Amino acid sequence: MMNLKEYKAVAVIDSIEDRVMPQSLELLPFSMEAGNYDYSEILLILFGRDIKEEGSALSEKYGIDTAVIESEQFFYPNPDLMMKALREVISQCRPEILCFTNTIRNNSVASGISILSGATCITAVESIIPDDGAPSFHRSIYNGKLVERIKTDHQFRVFTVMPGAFQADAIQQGLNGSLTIIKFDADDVKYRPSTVSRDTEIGSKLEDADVVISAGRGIGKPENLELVRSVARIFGNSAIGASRPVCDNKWLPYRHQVGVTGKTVSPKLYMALGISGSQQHITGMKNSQCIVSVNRDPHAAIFSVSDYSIVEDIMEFLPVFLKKYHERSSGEN
Amino acid sequence: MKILVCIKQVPDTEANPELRRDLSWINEDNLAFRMNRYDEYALEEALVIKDEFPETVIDVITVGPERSAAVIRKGLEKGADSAVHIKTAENHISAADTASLIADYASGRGYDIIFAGVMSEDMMQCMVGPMVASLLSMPCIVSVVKTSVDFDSGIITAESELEGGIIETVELSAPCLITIQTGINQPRYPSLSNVMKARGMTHQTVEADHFIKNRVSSLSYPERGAKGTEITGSIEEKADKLVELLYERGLLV
Repeated sequence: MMNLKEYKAVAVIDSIEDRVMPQSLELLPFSMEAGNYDYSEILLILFGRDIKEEGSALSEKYGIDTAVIESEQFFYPNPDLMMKALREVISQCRPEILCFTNTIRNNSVASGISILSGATCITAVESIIPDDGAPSFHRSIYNGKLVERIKTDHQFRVFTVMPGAFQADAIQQGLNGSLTIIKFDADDVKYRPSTVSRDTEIGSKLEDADVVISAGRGIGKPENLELVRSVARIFGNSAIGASRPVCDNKWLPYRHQVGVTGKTVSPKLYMALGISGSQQHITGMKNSQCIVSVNRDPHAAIFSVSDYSIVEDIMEFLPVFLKKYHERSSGEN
Repeated sequence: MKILVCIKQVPDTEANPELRRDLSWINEDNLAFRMNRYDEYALEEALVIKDEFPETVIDVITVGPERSAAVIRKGLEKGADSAVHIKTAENHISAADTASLIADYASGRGYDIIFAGVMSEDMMQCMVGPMVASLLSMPCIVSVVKTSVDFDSGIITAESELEGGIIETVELSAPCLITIQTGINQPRYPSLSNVMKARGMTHQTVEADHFIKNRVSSLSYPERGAKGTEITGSIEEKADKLVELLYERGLLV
């Protein structure tokens, strides 16, 4: 049974197979900004099978109260059971804010809890803008072409926060944090994870490549991939990447997919060809050293993260680009 | 087996939306609308079950203004048995409202599986499916890339795609809610015979009533990153400049 005191904010730190996902600590700066809270008003929650040591390390390192909730069922992510446990946490801590890292899984826990507790839920928050007292929470919609700005004065708000949107390295140590260990008895388990598997392809060319040339829906049809390959061939150590729709259409296998649900890459050069730039794709490539994007839509979201933007139809532009390259390279030889 | 598929009508997200003057929503005047792509895959997943077990009953439901009925008509053409339109006066309502309206309709109707897309392409919230599950006290599995149904035991085995290419295999008992990721199947085109059949079918319309108002939202265009440069000129000039630049930066040698 739980016995927790009241907190203003509860932040759920991600874990899988009893390992903490450090990126979740970005929830600390988020909580502080969202509600102007200090560390003594925030509780960290960690789920796992045997995750006490990780919990203890967190509470010591940051000086923040931490509760670990342990069950055999929490070795793999179990949103159904997490909801049950978190509803107990909420009834005891009575927080104003409950927050998670934005993952599809966490969005389901956040929204499921919010509707039962009468809270308001905002997923994939990218920034907080102070605005006449009440902050406004910004998120991308419409494939990144628009921003939704949400204001709420609701007394209980549930958030999921875009990875990378808030800086975890801004974390300063508080005084000292306590550790609470909660054994969660799970009966009537309706959601039973059995295994977790990973893409085990060794030495994926995508992650090791210096240059990634990626194709999006803008290539139109799979036959046009040949042109993308011709571009890749002019660079040393290059690989072909793709946006999710290209893989969904079976134009390329999923191992080529760059993005949240695929590979995260940071090559010296990333060329986005006919990619509109969904948030999920941008997250997977925005740390590339140089980003060149070609898209016929001047409003494509990909341009907002690009070093060099070219507004052209790729099927018209690439042949001209290749011709210019060959002229220049043969001219030099 | 009785299945409900939740379908949303969305604007074509390839188009560039204009905002209404009061910034409360997009100006819908010149937009084309279609079925949310994730929901197309969700509907197909239900139809695949019906192909195998023809006694399966599939209902499709949508929540939205007048125009939204088009997507459930499409559902009937693809092979759904019946369709319901929860009609709203406003073009855009919150996920919590949509979920409450769907759950009210589904409650007590004995659905074994409720399918939904993992998110809508326009709002990208990933909220309605899990909220419906929560309201109906059903387990919910999200971002599913494979399902298999054991009809004798009512056990559903599904593969849920987590971030970073990790796949979690989960067992659930019906009734449950499943949100579908793209690429799980190949959505079919309606057959001519089904299109003809659908013409003779009517769909049910229910006027939506209750709404929760606990937030205010407005829209804006994103601020373009300050870091980038647009390469301009004729197509030849752009290509020349790009080649030059890649050499300068040592990316071409």
